[in-house]
Amino acid sequence: MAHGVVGRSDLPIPEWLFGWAAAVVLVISFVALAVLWPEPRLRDGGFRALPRGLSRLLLSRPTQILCGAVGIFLLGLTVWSGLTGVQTEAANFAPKFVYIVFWTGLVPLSVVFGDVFRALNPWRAIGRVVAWVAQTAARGPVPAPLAYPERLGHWPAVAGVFAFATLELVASNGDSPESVAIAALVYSAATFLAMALYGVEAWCARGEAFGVYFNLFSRISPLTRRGDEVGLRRPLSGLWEVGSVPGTVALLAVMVGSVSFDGVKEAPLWTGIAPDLIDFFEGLGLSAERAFEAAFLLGLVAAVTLVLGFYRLGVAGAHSVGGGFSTARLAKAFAPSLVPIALAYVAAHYMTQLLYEGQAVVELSTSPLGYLASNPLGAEGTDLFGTANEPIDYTVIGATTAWYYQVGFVVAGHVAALALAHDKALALYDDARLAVRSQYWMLVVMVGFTSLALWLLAQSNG
Amino acid sequence: MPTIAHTSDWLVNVAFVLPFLGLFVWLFITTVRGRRQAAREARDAPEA
Repeated sequence: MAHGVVGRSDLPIPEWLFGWAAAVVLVISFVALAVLWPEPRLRDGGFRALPRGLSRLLLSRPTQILCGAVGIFLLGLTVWSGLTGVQTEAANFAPKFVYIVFWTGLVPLSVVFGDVFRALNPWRAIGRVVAWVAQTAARGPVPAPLAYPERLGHWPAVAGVFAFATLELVASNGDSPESVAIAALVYSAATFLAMALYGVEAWCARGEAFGVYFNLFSRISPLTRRGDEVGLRRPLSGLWEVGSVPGTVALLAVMVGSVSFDGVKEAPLWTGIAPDLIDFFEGLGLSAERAFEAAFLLGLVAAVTLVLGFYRLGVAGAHSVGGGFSTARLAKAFAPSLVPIALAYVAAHYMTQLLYEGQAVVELSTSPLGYLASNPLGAEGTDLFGTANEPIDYTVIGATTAWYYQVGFVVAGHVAALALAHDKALALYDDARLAVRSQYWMLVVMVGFTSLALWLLAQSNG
Repeated sequence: MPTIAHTSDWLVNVAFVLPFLGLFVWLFITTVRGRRQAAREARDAPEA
């Protein structure tokens, strides 16, 4: 997927100097937090309910049915257009919808409006319908599902998100409409099987990759649900409990690492190494296509490992100041700080893609199987909304303006990460000075993540 | 001498990493000094 950004030439200072400025902002933020934030503030989210009528409307059965139906319709449309439509990535609804609207577009929606994907989740909706039908047909309670193993935690979601990243970034035909549709069908089958074993809600909360992925971002949102009420809480406070479920750190490392690899695979660093790696795998007897995929898979794994290692460095540093906590405990405690970093990476890296390529989805939705005018293969198509030939407006945001937004996202995300880690440290350590000292290493890690993010952006957009 | 010929290319990349490296080295030295001082104090304590 190209990110559709042209080069910038009118920045007042070199891009690397933005990195230095961002590092200075982080150091100043760190000092400000140490001085002005002496007690934990995010443990209690300070829930304030919205008007009861609004909560009732948002959580009502008709709203749930409507949202579930929309999710099921979009899943069905994706599979149908992927299998039966024009097999050209640019002219088919499925790849653009999955990689841009779904994967990228739902992230800002989750951050602003909370866990919207839970309502739209097609697998959860189908699972609930099937459970309801089974209960009605049985005229009584059906056998209870198995208890979800605690040790399994978010590990199935780690596997799911990694598999999705592999399809997007590694598989040589990962953006072909048919591949996307088949992947959706395989994932659906695996999800329904897991739901049958462990129950719909338990699986969606712990194991369903996309449900867990979007839920993590939604925890940044000030909007949340408590029981039968929708209300407001302090932004970021929903992240307080993140990390307590096994596999969360690995999941966040996959989230940050996959975006990093998406950026670095366009950089001279990777384009210089990749041919040698491909040659190496071809030397082992792999075909050219499989050698390409093996090299890119290695790159993806390396990026995820690098992010994980970076985080572990910060945790080891925090461990070195004392306090008597194990590195495993500290790794879980500071895991919430990785969520704003993941958001910063996604927002900065995919913003232009969403703004430019997202417009193509409007064009493609008018003819999900592929419209004649936009299809070089010349397949017939319909034009439901009369938008088939709408051109993409590349002036919606300029390259320089986009860069400023990207830098802003990266800095804001890492300052939020610092604040979260600081808040968690204050709650963890009895001594406030020790808490601040433990964060010196997290500051180094945040500056490292910031530098990496801006370097990646400079590589892919420059 | 391809490395020298493309110095500006990789120097720009190094420039991105410098804030991280600077902080890392500073913190590493501070930590090592702190540990040495703590060890010295622990060694001197019984003599006092």
